[in-house]
Amino acid sequence: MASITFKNIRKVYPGGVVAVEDFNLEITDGEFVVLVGPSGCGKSTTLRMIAGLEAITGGELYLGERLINTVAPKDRDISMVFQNYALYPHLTVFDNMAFGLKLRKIPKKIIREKVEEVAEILDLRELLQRKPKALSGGQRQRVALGRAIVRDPAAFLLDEPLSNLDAKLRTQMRAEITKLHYKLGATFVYVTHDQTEAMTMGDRLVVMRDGFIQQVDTPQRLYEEPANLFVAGFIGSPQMNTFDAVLTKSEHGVSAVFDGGQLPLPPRLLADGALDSYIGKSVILGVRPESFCLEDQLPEVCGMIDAGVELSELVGAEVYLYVKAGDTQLIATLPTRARANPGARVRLAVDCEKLYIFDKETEARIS
Amino acid sequence: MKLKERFDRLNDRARDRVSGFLWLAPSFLGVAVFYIVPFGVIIYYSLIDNPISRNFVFLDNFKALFQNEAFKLAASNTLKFSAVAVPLAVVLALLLALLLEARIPLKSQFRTFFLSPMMVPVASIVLIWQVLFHYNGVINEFIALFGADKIDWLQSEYNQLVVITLFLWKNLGYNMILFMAALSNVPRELLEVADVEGASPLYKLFAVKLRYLSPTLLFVTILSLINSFKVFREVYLLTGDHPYEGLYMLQHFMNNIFKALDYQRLASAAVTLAIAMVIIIGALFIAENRFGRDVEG
Repeated sequence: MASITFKNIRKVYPGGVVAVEDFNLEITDGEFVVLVGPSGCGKSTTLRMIAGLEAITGGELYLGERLINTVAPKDRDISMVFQNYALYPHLTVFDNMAFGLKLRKIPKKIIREKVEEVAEILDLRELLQRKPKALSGGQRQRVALGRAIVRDPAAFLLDEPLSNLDAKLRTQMRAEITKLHYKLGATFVYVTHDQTEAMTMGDRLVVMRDGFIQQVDTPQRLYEEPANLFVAGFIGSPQMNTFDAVLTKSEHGVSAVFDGGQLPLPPRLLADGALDSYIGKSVILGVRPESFCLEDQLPEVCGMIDAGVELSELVGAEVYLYVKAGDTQLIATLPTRARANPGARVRLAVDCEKLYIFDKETEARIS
Repeated sequence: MKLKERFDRLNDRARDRVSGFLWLAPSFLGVAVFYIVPFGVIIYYSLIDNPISRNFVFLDNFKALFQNEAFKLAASNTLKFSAVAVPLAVVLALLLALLLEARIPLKSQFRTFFLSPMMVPVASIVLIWQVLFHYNGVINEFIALFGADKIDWLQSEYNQLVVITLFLWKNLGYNMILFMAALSNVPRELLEVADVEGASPLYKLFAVKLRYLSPTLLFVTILSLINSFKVFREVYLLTGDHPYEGLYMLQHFMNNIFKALDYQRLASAAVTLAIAMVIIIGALFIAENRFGRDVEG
């Protein structure tokens, strides 16, 4: 087991394309860290740099105390699980799992014991003599995981391992991997573009965009305290409503006025004085769909918005209401009884304690 | 009109079948006239005494063929040539493809260089090689600079060496391109897993890459085998009807007995060659099916 430390890591591809820039992070021993971001944000490149499959252009990468910038992949003591399983089609499940151990010339008896032990954990005992072709997607991914585990490496790298599975299996495997992490207590670095996967699995999330880290924090804090507009939009489903507003001061206090209504700002948001210089200026207002509520459940500080329903989507326990207030498009997550037909007018309450305000220029969160 | 009525009365499936046959008919006619029927006639000719009396003699023509010294020489030369030239053409092309797959400078220039012999017509190639390997040619002049004796390249033990070099020069480029295309289709993740798990480059080549290359290996081997029989064209242009003993190939033999209008011997030689080819190619197919079974489809 080992920690992984990135110091000013940089990756530039031939042709000058910068994939990762100024990447600083410390992953502690036994931590489950998820690198998350949209396609092309540099998350897979970062993972591949840990594996040694991509050369590092600049900075220092440590595995434990050891600088591994130029260490060959096989000498790094890491295991990697790929999106499309990367199983050898001509080898049986047993041989695929034993692949790394055989290459390291481990005695046959120990290989058999280790593979059988891991097969037991992953429920693969019955499949050991089958070839990958005869396995389902979920079983194949378990074999790939088995191959990674069997060698007992210092760290596990997982590159979108669930992307090829259907939704149901993905949820199931998500739980399996999380359980496996608890069981092994090893360092896991997991790459995904799926924020739900990231939120549910990681101890800490690293949100990336265009090669830069946007924020590193626990899922809860990323959700509650996003550092900027990008993180706020990326984390949470449905994504946060963001729209232009002007902060206006009146005798009743400060409000955010937007096309479609106005929302009072609670004293808590104004307490640190960060918003003082923005009074009278345009900002970006963020409201999570979950911060809307029905009139009969009014929170302490709330604002009301009158809106027209465009669409309502029932997703089991709740309903997503797509509404339009003035020219502002909003999505609200509400109890199912709030379901309404397109064209209907609704009056929605917003919990103003949960408003987010972003700088229009820098997109950083002000409050 | 009657035919059309009958066609209209057919159900959909039968109608599809009839129209399918009709669409295939022109090509089938061509293949039949130029391949299937002549092949049948050749088999028939190999089993009769002569085209006039047409007495059935069963395998007598084949017995006579196997006792013929010229045939034995031609068969043995062809076998020797193919046994050396074909593996070389496959292995060297694969090595070149692996080399060009790596990050080396002037990669595209090398690729063009190896492909360029394909663009040169055979007659021009032969002319160049005559200039190179003539007794008073460039190569002899060159080795004379180092005090070595001149070699009569095409009329001595070295003749097969010359033809093998010519064969490789002509065929390596195309084989190499086929291998390069196949190499680019080897799943990258499988090689990366091998890297992470600690496999050596040789292990990766034999245990991973060759598995995925097996259909191409088969194709390149068959292609090279066929081309090795076709080397007659170059040899004939270089040395004429009766070359030095070591270059007397099966096609020389067939060409000469065709000129002598000995149809029975020609037919039995052709059938023997066809049987040999079917056995070799069949064996290659079986081997490829076993080796590459899991990586295909």
